[in-house]
Amino acid sequence: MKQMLSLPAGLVAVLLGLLPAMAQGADFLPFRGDSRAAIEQAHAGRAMILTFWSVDCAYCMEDLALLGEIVRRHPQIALVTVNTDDDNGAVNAAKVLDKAGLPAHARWRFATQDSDRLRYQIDRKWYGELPRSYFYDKQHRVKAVSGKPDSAWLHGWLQEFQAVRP
Amino acid sequence: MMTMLNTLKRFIYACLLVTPTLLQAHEAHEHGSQPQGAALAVSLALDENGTLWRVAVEGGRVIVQASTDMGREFDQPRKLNASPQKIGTDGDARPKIAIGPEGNLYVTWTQALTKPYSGHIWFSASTDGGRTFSTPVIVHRDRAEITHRFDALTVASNGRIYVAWVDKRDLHAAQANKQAYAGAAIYYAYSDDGGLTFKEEQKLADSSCECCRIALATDSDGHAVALWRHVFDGGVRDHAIARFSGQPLMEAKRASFGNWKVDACPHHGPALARGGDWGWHMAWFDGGEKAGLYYARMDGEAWVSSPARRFGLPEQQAGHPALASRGEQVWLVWRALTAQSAIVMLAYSDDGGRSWQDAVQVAETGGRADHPQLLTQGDAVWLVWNTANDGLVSRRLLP
Repeated sequence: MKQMLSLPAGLVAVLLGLLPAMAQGADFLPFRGDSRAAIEQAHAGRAMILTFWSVDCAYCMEDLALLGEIVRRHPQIALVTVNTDDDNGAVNAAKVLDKAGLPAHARWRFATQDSDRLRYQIDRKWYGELPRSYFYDKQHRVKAVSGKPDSAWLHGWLQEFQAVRP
Repeated sequence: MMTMLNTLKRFIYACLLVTPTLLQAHEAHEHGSQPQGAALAVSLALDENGTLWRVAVEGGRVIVQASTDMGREFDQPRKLNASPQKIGTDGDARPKIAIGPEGNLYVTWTQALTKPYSGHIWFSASTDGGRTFSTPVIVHRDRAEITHRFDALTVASNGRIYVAWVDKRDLHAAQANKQAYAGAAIYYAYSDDGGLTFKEEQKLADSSCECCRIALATDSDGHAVALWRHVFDGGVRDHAIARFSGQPLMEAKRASFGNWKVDACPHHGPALARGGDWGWHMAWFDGGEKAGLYYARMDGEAWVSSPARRFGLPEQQAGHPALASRGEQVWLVWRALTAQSAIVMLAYSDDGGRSWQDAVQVAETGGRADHPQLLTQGDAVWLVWNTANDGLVSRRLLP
């Protein structure tokens, strides 16, 4: 308790001030040009699946369901989702994502009108096809996958992780 | 206690990560020159007087505007739909405009409905040189709340209007019968009375890709040719081409052979232009290991294509091509991104696409940029390109 109280008063004030802003954000964090690096840093030393999706992409729903199943069975793998829709699409994004029934995870959304530029900053080899996912192992060796991951490859990738019984 | 502290620490860390971006977002909103939500997705057409016509979406309305100075200034918008609709303007979706041989203006767009991926294709016409537009109508007879999206529009030299789109009625029918069905379908309807009535829609092909624009063009006989991304056996998303008129004139033929196997939405449709009497110019994006922009000639009798030729630099995201052709001359443009800007590159051929001069950059902008479009009028070929920072960029391409 003492440690908590010893937080600088100014920092506490900043944090409290942020609370309404975060609540207003409909629980999406704003994804910008440097966000991929920030997310990688925040998950350093931990396996992670970073996936980009849109409400307008039927394959994305199947893919999110698959990824959700993977992280449920392998809780040591972090899941980070990024919605790529513009402001029009984002109205539904939170609802759609809630419906997908994923385990609690960090939810981001493109926070710029220039999604082409943002994509270029994320990965120059990504041309906008969705879903687009990045599979990081613990050392953060990363495999980029467009669409559904090849099941043989995925099986191999998951060997490193211990599964929990469903 | 330790857990609580750790949770708090994580929360603080998350907040610190988030704070600067939240503030930036706020600033950008306050001072940005572009209104939030302004869609850059427009279509353009040039009439025989050199007036440039633009269709765009603003506040849920499809608006048409004219410019007599190639896009520097546009006149007052004509609003085509009386009540606002949710209209597709992202990815490959955008309203379309085309001009008939008699000078009529035709516009189509896709209204997004409530169910995911569902839409209706609307049509409106002006027969008084763009002064007024007809009350919009839905082109297709099928009114189910399912996918009718990615409208494509073209007018033949005999005045026949063709509208093609991506349609999921066969997918739903198959699902209801517990049968497998890959992708969506290509449907089309046509009008021989200036858009007063459309004939009942027909299916051109099963198993198209779901979310890519259809390239549509006409030949000198008034027939139409469509090129689209297709789902071939095993989920390979290459392109297919088919010619049609009052009815389909052939089975769809495979037009590209990149073998990109992916269960994904590429949002990246092809371009098509009529060559000489021999056939068609095609340009398209192909993904996977050899991702990039490709061009090929398509023989319009045998429906056999030349080997695909690659354009654009790797890692510049070369894509979203447009094609124009006159005689043996061919212009191919595409959009690319550099570290600072979006650019339009041009490749030119004077022998019907057999050989090409080195590609050159013809336009550049610092901010957001739409896909480039090519317009021909008389002897002139124009690049038109909608940008956030520089407005509508137009360049007459030489020679």
